[in-house]
Amino acid sequence: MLRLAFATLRGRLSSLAGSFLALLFAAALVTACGLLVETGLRGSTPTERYAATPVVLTGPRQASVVKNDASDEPVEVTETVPLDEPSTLPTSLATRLRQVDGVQDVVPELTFPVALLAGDGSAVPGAAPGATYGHAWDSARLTPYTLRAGRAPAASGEVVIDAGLAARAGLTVGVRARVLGRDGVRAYTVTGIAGPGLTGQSAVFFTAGRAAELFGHAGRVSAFGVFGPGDPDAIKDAIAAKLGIAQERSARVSLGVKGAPAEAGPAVYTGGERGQAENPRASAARETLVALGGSLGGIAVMVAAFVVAGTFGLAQRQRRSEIALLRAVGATPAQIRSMTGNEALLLGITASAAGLLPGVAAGRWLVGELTAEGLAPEAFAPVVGPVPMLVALAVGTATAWLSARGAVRRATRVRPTEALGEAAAEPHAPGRGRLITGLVFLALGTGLCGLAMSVAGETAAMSAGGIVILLVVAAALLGPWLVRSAVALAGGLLARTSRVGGYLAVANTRTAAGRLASVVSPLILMIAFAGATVFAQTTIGEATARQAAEGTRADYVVQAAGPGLPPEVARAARAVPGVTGVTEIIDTGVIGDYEELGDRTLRSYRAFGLTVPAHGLDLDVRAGSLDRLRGTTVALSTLAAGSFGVSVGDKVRLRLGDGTPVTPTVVALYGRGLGFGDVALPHDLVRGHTGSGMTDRLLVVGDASAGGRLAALGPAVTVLDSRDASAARDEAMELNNWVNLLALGLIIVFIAISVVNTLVMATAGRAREFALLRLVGGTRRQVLGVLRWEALLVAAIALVAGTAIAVPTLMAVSYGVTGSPIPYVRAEVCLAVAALTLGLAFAATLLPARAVLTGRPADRVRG
Amino acid sequence: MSLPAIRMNAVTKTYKQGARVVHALREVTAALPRGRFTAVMGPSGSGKSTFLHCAAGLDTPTSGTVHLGEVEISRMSETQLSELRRDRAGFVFQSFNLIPALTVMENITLPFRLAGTRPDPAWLDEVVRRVGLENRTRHRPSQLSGGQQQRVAIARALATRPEVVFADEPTGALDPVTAADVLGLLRRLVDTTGQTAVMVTHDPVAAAHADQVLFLADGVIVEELLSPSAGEIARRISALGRRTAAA
Repeated sequence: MLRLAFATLRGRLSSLAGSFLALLFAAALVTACGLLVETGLRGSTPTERYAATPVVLTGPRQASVVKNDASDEPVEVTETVPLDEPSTLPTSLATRLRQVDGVQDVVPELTFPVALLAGDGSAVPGAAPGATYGHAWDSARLTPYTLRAGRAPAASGEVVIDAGLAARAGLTVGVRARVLGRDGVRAYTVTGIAGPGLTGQSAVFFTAGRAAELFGHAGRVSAFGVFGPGDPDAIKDAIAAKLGIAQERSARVSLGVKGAPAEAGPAVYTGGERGQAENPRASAARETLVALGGSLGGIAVMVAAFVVAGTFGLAQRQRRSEIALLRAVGATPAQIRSMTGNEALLLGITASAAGLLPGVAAGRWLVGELTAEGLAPEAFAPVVGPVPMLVALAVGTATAWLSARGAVRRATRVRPTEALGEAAAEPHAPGRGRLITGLVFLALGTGLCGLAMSVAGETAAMSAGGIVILLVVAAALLGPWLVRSAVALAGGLLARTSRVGGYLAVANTRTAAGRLASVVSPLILMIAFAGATVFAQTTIGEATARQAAEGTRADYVVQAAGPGLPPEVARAARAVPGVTGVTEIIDTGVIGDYEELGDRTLRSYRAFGLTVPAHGLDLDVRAGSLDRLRGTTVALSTLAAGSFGVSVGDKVRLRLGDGTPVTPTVVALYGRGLGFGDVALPHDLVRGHTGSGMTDRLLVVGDASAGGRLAALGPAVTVLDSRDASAARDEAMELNNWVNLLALGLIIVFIAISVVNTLVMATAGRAREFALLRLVGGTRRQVLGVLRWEALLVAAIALVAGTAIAVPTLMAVSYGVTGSPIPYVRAEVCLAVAALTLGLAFAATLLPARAVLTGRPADRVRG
Repeated sequence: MSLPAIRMNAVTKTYKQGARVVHALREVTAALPRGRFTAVMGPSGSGKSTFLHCAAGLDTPTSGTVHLGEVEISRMSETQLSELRRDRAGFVFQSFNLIPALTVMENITLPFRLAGTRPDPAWLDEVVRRVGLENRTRHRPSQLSGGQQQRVAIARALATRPEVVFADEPTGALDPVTAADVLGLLRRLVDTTGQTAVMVTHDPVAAAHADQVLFLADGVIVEELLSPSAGEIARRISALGRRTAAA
C-alpha cells in the first residue's frame, strides 16, 4: 500500500510539504533544546584548580525532597532544587575518608571570595569576573600551584599570589598588597608568586590559620582533595560506599517526609566532572541551560504535536475522495490505515532527519547567545551528542504517526459509496466526542483559572501556562462550533455589507466550519501564547519595577566592586556626618520547604538579609513589624506567606543559601516581595551562610553632603544615587526578558509556519470551487474578495478567541503576583499581534489563491 | 431566420505541448442557430471540448473570431468574459457544478449576486418549477442526488435567460434513466422557452435529443446531421473513430 501512497504523492505535494516543514521545524527545535540540556548536563568547564586531584568532594549542591517510608528501601528523589550558595563539609570527614581503601592522602580545601586591591582602591580583575578566591597554601598541591618566586606564607600577614593576578596587579615578591576579605581590607606582604595562572579563576594563598579565619566556618571546609594511586572512579565508589551516599552525580540534602532533615551528603567528582566542583557559577549556568532547554523543548513538543496534528488532519480531509475511491475498489480500512501510517512514519523520519542539522546549528547559536548574555561562562562549549538527535527523531516520527492515526481514523469511516459524491463538501458534522472533550477542557481551563484567582500567590502565577494550554486545546476542539457561532453572530451583518464577497465568505465559513477551525486553531494558539507570555512578563516586570521604585527610600546605595562590603564599611558609613540611617543588605536565595496539596515541596525564593531598624527601605509591612527581625526570625512577602500558609507568629521551614535548615518564626508580612525578594531574614542569620560572608549593599539615608564622603569610605566601593540605582535594577531585568522573548520568538515562528501551512493547503485545495465561481461569472477580483473576507473572518475569530484565552490567564497571573486583577498591557504589543495575525491570514490565503486562479477555470473544474 | 446564437469564423486553436504544437481546432467555421439544441460529437482528441470552450468564451482562439449573439467575444479580457458569462452564457458540467456552501436557491441565484442584479422572481419560480425542485430550494448540494444536482445546474444556467446554455457532458456521471430525464428536461426547455443549447457529449443516445449534431475529427467539422437517431449517430461516430485510428 505504501507504493500506492508514493504513486499518489505527486498530487499531494503541497500538503505534504506543509507537514514536512512543520515536522522539520519541530525536530530542529527539539534538537536545539536537547543540545541545551545536554550541554547543561554534560558540558564541562576545563578542570584547572583540581587538575592534580584524582577525586574531589564538595558540599551538596542541591536540596531534594525524598520519599522514604521504609528505611531499608532506596530513597526516591521527588524534587530537587539547586542551592544558591556554596555549601561546606565538616573537617572531621577527613578522618573517615582516610580510612577508605585506596585513599592515600586527603587535602582539605577552603575556598572563599577575596579581592586584590589596586593602588586606587579598585579590585584587580581576576582571570574571570568575580572569580578571585582565597585558599590555604596547604591546598596549593590540588592544582598544583608551585612557587615561581619567593617562599610560602609563614605568618598571618603573608600571602602568595598566583602569577596571572600578580602580573595584572604588577606585584612582585616582597611588596605589600591589600586584600579584601570577610573581615575587611588588610595589608599583606607578598612572600611568593605561584604558577600557573589559571584561565577560569585567580588565587590568593594564605596560611592555614588565616585562611580559616577568612573562610569563617569553624570546623568546616569547602572541599576535600582525595589522592590515591588507583582508578579515581574506584576510589569514588569506595568513598560513596563508606559514607553511604547515593551514587549520583551530585549528592543531596535529604529530607525526611516528616522528621528533621537528614545530614547532607557530599558530592564526589572525578575526571571531567571535577570542573563542576571548582566552578560554582558553571553549575548555576548548567541549571539554567537544563531548565531553559527543558521548558523550551516542552513547549516545542507541545506546539509540534498541535501543529502537525492540525496539518495532517487537513491533509487527510483533502484526501477524502481518494481514500473513498480506494475503499470503493476494495481497500480495507486496515489497508488504508497502514498506508497512511507508513506514509506518516516515512514523512516523520525524513522530516525529522532533515531538521537535525539545522537544530544543531540553532542549539550552538543559542548557547553562544546565552554565553554572550552572561548566562553561561565563556569556557562552556556546546556538547553535540547523539541523544538529542535521537530524541528529536523519535519525537518527530511519533508525532507524525500519532497525528496520522488520529486523522485517518475518521477517513476510514468514509463509506465507499461516498467516493464519487461531492468530495469537496464538508463530510460530517464533527462528533459528539469532540464536543464533550472540548467542553471538558474548557471547564478544566476556566476551573483552573478560577482556582488560581482564589488561591492567589505564586501558585496562581505559575498556573498561567496550564490555563493557556487547557483553553487553547479547548478552543481547538471546539473550533467548528466556535467558527459557526461567530458566523451566526457576525454573518448577517457581513453578508449585507458585502453582497458578493462577504455573503459567499459567510456561506463558506458556515458550511466548512471544520476546515476553518483547523486554520483558526494555530492562530488562536499564537495569539493566546504571545499575549499571555508578553503581558505576564510586562505585568510582573512593571509590578517589580514599581515596587522597587516605591519601596526604595534610600538617598544613596553603596555597592561593593569586589566580593562584598566588609563590616567596617557599614560602621564607617553610620558615622558619616549627614547620614541618618544605614541598612546592610545581603542578597541570597533560600529554599522554602512546605506542604502543598499534601506533598512536601521545595521552592527557591529570592531572599535578602537586612539589618534592623530598616532605613531607606519600605517593604510595605502589612502585619507584624520588621523591627523584630533579629535572631531566628523571618519576614515573608504576603505571596510567600500564602504559599507557606502561615501568618505572623508561625514557624516556617527554610534552607538557607548553603542548605542549612532553619525554622524561623514569622515576625512580619510585607507587600513588596516582587521588588525586593519574598523572604527577608536577619542580616546576621544570613551572613554566615553565604559564600563571601559580606554585605552586598548599603542603603543609606542622608543629606546631599553625605554622597561625597560615602565614596571615600573605603576601597572597592561604588556609590549610586537613587536614580543610578533604579537604572541598575532595570538592567538586571533585561536579561530575564531576553530569555522569555527568545522562547516566544521561536514559538511564534513555529506557529507562523503552521498557519501559513494550513492556510496554503486549505486554499490550494479549493481550486475547483474557485474555478466554478469563475465559470458562473465571478471575476478574479470577486473570488479574491471572497477570500479576503474569509481571511478577515478567520483573523477576527482568532483574535477574539485568543484574547478571550489570554485575558483570564493574565488576570490570574496579575492577581497572583500583584494582588490586582488588571494586567499591565502595552497597546503597541496588542497592535503588533493583531497586525501579525491579519498579515498571516491575508498573505497565506491570498498568495496561494492567486496561484490557483491562474490558468483556465474550465480545466480546473474538471478536477 | 434571425442572427445565429453563435458564429465561429475560421477559428483555430493551437496548444504547445512540450515542443509539439497541437492543433485542437483548424479553421473551424460554424453558425449555431438560435432556439435550437445542438450536440457536438467526436472521438477523444477531436477538439470538441475546445470547440465548446471557444464558443463559450472560456478560452480564446489563436486566430479567427467568435460572436455570441452580436458581441465578439474572441478578443475579450478575462474579466470582460467573466462578466459576460453572468448573463449571456449558462454552464452545466459533468460534475462539481454547485458551490457546496450554498443552498439550491442560492446556487441558482449566484450569477445575479455576482453581477449585483436581482433575478426576475416570476421567471425564477418558473425555472425552479420546470426543473422540478420546488420543494428542495433550501437543500444543500450534498443532500441531493446526482440527477437533482444536474437539475440545479440547469436551473442556474437558465436563470439569467442566457443567449446560450453550454453543457459539457452533462449526463456523463448519471445513470441512463436519470440521464434521459435530464436530457428530456433540456429538450423541453429548448422547445418551450426557445432557449439555445449547445452540448458536448460522446454518448449517441444523449446526442439524439438534439436538433442537429456536429461531428468533429482532428479539429475540423466533418459532418452535420439534422434530427438524427441514436443509431445513426453511433454509426457515424464509429466510422469516424475508425478513420481517425487509421490516419
